Amino acid sequence: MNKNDLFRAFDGVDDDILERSELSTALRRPPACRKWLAVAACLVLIVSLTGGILVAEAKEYNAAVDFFKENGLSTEGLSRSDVKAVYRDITSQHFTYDKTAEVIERAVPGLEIDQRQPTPEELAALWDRNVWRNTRLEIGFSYRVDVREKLDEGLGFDVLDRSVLECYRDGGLLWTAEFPGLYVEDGAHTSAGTAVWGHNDTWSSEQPARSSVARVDENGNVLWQRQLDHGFEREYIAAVVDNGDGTWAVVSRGDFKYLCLSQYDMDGNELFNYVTEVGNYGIWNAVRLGDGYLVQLGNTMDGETARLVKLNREGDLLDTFVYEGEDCDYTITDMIEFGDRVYLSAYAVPKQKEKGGRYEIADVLDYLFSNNIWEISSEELTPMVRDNYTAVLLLCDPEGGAPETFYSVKGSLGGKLAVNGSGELAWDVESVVNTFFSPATSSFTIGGTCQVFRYTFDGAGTLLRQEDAGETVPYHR
Amino acid sequence: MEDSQIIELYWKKNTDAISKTADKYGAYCYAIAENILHNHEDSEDCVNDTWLHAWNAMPPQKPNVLRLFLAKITRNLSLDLLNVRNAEKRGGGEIALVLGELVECLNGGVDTETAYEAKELRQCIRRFVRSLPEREGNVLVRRYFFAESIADIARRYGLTENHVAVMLSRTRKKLKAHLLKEGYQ
Repeated sequence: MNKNDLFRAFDGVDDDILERSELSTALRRPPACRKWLAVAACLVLIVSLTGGILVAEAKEYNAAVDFFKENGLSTEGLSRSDVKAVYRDITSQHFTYDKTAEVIERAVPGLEIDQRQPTPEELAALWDRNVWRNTRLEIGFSYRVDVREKLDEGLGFDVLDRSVLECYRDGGLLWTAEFPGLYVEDGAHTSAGTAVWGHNDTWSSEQPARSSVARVDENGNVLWQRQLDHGFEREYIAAVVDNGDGTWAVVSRGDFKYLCLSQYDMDGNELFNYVTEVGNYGIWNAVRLGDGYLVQLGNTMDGETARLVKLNREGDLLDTFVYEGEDCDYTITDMIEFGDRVYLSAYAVPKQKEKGGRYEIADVLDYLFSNNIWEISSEELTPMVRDNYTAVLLLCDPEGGAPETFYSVKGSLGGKLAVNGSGELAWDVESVVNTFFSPATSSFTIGGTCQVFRYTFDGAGTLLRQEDAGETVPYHR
Repeated sequence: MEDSQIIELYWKKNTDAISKTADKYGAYCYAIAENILHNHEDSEDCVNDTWLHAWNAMPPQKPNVLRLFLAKITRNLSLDLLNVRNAEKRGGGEIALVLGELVECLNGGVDTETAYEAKELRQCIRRFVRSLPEREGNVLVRRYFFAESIADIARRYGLTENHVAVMLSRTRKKLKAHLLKEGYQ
């Protein structure tokens, strides 16, 4: 056996694992038509429409026209059925019809936040930075993990020694804590200190993958650490949510298809747990929603990037929402509870006809490949990519989970949500400012740079200001 | 076009199968070839050869995941061509190409014992990768199946390059132990 034989032997890896390894690309899939040219603010929110109301057509239309007049909305460009649909959409507060966004945008100045194109000088400054490094300064609480390993003489290879967790606030180091034998995955700031979670070290399929949660005080002292054991061979913690009453909810994924909700008191006692089978979805995020929780599930291979489930405090699955538009798909990138409401950061892309490949930019690639374009300047490519994206901030009410209103920013992707040192909500919007076409790179085909703009809101959800955060993040699809 | 429809075209020996495959997976296979060969023309040749091999393989084969079936063909063809190119650099010259062409005349290209061993080794690797935690397994196959650079893998999974390198080093040691345990010296 030589190295070539060994390389070839990787052909034996099961297809499901090869497919799984492709999941974590930021996105996916192939061609349709050149829809990107006509893509606009198709901001539509579908929240499981059920039922319907039968009224006399004329009566409903007249009521709709009255509603438009009373609220200063324009019917320009709308058909009779459009007017009724928008009327139903707004009055039912579902915002499910694609024309609704256009009507509201025309009627409410500032709802669509203006974002100017970058100047050549700004582009030059961006280029000078090393865009391949994540140079972002975190706001609020953030965590950095350093994993240390050591040689196990008996096994003959390195095994985990410990994780060193550093806690920062607005970029300044607050404390450091060590976790022997635990791969720390993340931490979350709560009213009772920091919740830290991670998993054990494994090097054989016969070893179960166990996850642990720990509580750390404000000086970095580890108060307790508990290992979860809900009968799964593999269990990973996705999030720890502060219930605000001296307990934590731990949301974990068991054996790749179960969602497990456990409640812990501040002494590390597990109060109860509840397991629900949800299928082969990753658990991407979780926040508190009223007396329960809103959990984002995802499966990038199936294009499931905006599936939310609502749980009650006991872990019962109450409802499922899939955010999608008639002409566009959403990807939810972050969620946060702020001012008694849940905010979702997302971005919309035109809906594609086929699955597979690099989904979000499929139409751009289709255009390039169809025209046999293998070299294209950033000046030509960037507007095409920008046309493809709209960043969206969605707000859900604490009871039903339905959206109350939204902000949108064209040419951008919704980024992180955080509460800054002044107690305001900060929404990062990543504006695509330069791009390059790289068909020979396997992990992405279009790369580039996004300039981060930060939009700040008060507790009532009012936009206070927008500013260039002075940061860049890479764009790869 | 759905993969199942493309496979159906292959089974009906409809030549549209190749153009549809090229449209849908041309860039994907090219990227894999380029990762291995780092040469535009060679990579394009390998991709074109991939369509020919797929044409010859279907029927009788009916892949579950067409994309990965093509990926496996591409990487093997790319590796073959890389060996030829390396042989040329070592002074093999034209003879390396000639030998490469003659391989096509052999029955399967390898003897039975070697083929059996290769199959066993594939099974051994399959078991090993399946035993790994999800993230380690993903990183390993991106590197040693798709031949991606460490920088690309780091970007794909949001890790630092150092983290990926350490993870790969550690997994290689595990693989070495696994191979020894399975009787590979």
